[in-house]
Amino acid sequence: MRCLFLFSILALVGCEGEVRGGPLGPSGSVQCEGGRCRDVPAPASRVPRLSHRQWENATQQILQLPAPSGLSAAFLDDATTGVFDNNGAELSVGGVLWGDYQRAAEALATQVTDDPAALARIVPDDLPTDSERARAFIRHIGLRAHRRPLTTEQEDAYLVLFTTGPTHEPDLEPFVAGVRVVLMAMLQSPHFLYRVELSDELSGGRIPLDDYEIASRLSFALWNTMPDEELLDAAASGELSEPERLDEQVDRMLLDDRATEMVVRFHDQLLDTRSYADIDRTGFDAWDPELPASMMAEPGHFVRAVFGEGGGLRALLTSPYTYADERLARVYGQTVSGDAFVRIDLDPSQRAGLLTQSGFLARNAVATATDPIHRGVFINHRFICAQLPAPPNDIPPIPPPDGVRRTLRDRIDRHTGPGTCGARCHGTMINPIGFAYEHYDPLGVWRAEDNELPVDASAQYAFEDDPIAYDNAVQLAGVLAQQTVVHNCYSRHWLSYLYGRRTTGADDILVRRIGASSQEEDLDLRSLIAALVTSDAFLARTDIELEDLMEAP
Amino acid sequence: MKKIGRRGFLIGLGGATVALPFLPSLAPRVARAAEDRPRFAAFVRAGNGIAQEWEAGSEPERFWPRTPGPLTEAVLRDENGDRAVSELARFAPRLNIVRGIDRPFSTPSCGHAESIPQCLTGARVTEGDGNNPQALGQSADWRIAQQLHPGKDPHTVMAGPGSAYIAEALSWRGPSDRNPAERSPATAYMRFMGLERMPPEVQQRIIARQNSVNDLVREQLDTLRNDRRLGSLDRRRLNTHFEAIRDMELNLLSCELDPGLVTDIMSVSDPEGNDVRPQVVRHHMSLIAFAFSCDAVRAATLQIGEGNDQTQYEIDGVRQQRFHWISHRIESDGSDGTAIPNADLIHHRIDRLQLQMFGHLLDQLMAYESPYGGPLLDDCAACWINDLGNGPPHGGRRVPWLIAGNAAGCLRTGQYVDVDAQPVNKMLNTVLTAVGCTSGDGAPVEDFGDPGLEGGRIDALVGA
Repeated sequence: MRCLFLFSILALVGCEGEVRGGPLGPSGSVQCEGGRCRDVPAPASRVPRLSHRQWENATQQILQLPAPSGLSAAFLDDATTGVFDNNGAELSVGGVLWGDYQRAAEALATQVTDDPAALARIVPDDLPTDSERARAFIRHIGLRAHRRPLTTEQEDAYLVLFTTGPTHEPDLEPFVAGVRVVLMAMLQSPHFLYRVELSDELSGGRIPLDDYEIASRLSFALWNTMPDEELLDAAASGELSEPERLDEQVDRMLLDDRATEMVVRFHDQLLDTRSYADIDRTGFDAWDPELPASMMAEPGHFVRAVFGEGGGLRALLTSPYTYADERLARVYGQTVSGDAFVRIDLDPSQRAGLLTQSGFLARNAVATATDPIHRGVFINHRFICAQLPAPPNDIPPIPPPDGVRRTLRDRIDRHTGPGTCGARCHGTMINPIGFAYEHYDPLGVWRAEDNELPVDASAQYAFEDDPIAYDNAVQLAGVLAQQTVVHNCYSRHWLSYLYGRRTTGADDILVRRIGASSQEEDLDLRSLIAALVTSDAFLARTDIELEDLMEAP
Repeated sequence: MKKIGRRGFLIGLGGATVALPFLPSLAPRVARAAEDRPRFAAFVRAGNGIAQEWEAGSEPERFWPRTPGPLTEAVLRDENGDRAVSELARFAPRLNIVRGIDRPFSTPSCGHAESIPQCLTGARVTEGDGNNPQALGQSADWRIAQQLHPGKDPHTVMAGPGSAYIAEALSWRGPSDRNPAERSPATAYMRFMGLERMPPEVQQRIIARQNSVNDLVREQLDTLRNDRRLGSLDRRRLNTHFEAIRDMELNLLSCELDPGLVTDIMSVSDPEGNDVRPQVVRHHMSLIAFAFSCDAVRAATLQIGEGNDQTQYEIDGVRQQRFHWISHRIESDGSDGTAIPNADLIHHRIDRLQLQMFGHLLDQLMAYESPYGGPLLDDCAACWINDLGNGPPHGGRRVPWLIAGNAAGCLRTGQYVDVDAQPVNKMLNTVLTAVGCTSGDGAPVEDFGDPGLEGGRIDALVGA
């Protein structure tokens, strides 16, 4: 079914895309040759570093640990600039993080070599001599740590280190001592900490990745971890360079629970659910100190359901149900017993999808009032990808109440709406989105009145050409779900997340193609993701390096 | 006063990993020639500006002393008790209060996001909001570390949430190379000290083993970073990694943290939480003083709160609104919101709280004894800064600089000076030179920061 889909989204644009002109193509590009068009990859780092979560997952997998070690919790957090945590080009290793890596590698190597059962899982036992076992162990773990077979030089270097084991660990059995010290080294190796891509042979104007590079790209994109045995085997046999075999692997991976968790993690970062921890609405009837934790968990449960049921962006934006525990259900005026999250149907005239969930609404509110500005800004940024300038400095504060009973909307409109100096951004972009959510109080509870006056949640927004009117957030959700710019925005975020880099103009055609299919065909999430990771933009490199991108006019 | 501890610690050049019993064969930190005397710089940053009179008729002055001149405890306590700086009265003889420092460059996009990167760099900043603005120069803490303590990174910490719209932006390893800040004092402490106690022979084996591993990893990294296929940006990142790989060496740290404090530090379960923020600030400060006392680092930065500090501080037992809203005087991060009654007064109280916290750092530095006699504070330039001048409108003029300690006599102290619109790079030149940095020819640092700025130091602060 996905292959049919892939055909259809290619057909939407066909070869009418912009043929590569300048170094990057001014607004995205495809290359056509012999009747076949390919997406042109954008510049990307050759050594993106693993995120801390990826380190955690990969070490668990290499060492076949029953659970993540949790050691990365003590790693120095990365200072990132974008929406997602996996932009490998901006993740670096300074002195502090190097020390963290070193300590964690030592702890893991010690843990495994102190436990005979754990050691047995990673060390071959069917060879007659320790020397042969050592070499086999190094090849076996090296393949997984480097995510490709070791070179002869690398293998020899690890063997030399292995022989020093008894000197460094005289209290251990010599073979175990060698294993320990080699594990320490492999887990600090740059070939483990970075996803190294050194392919450089141009073919048809692009640099096809080799099979091991593809395997790593796929596994870190779809599972947030290293390739599993089947993927490594596929890479070894060259299958990943064959489109049909590649599709089979992608389909297999997208049915794995790790893909589901990847999709949840994407949406958690897109919505910034981590920030919900700071919500405090003491004094509100439905408030509970444990509610922020429930709010943080809610989108994940909902996304799992949509993903599992084959939904796409439309379902994420418009579905009138959610998952709630006892605390969260009170926000929605319903009753649920206990801490377990259960699916509850919501009033379809009041709720629709992710953006009427309580966490988003409460996060973008203040202690005693809603915050239409921040609700509007967030959706403009994250769901419309609108280019809003930062607020200018030195804005005079909104005038104090003038004695006339007004809604907050009325007060904001007077200060920033049409006819004021704030009209350009607020009046036409921020307020019309934010006002649609005025039916939800600072905790996200539905309300009919603000300041004892009827709520007016109607507005209009010009997504592309003529303004589109809506009465409230539910109608706005339906409008958003129909907009090409919204689907393009969502696809752009997915590209950034799956590719582990910022998007550029060179991605525009691919983004628009996926976005159009999402919008016109109600593309399900699996197909959207599959389309992105089977694109030539994912499977190849450009011969332009990152600094060339930065220096391009 | 805290004396030399009973145990030494085994440290790598990047920080300690394991503790070891006292080894008498290893030299403790001892007094050296004056020119080698280690000096230390701490930079504590508060956000959202201070409650000061901005222009005639604006909010009343609540921060600066009334008149420039010599500072005594009585001057600050009795004549300026209504000003926030009176919180530091007990340090008056060792204090410089400097008014008139300006942020060098405008902030066309976002006052917070584009101001913090300028604080310690004096460099231009790329435009943008959130975490996008990049300082186009190195920060003073890195300059100190690289010139005076090669191989030992500066200590970079923050008391604030893990992720934020504007997160850490004080410490820059180099242009567009932001240094992440550790949030957890417990983790920072463990990095310094490690927790294992082993016999010396075991420690020696650990050193040998780690250095063997380092040799292999270093070789792999060297091959990779020199691969012709890599672009310069990738190579730069790998160079940073390569330089971070440091062989362990035996280095006795003549210090030990109070076990009770260690217990306190380790007991904070959510160091990013709002309600423990002042406690976390104090713990970080205790660790900075501790690290200085060990000569484990020469420079440290502590950022309090995110760029637009959203901490809800407690004043008189009452949890206040978010500090950023208070600094805007309304319940909003923007310009629209309900007015917060007495917001300027609450801002002043938060200024006092910030300086009380800074006082904790100074108390700690006073409590350690310098190997050269007197308190460790006398070997320091401990700086309290704010990246903005005031609440509304978050201007870049008169950003406060308070410096405690005379950096081994290299700074005059006990004075309140108004330098009248000097760019921050001059203050950075002053501090860098005071703690021992020099320009290429051994002369005082006069040109730190953006080359387009007027160079020089703040003459009123330069010691004999």
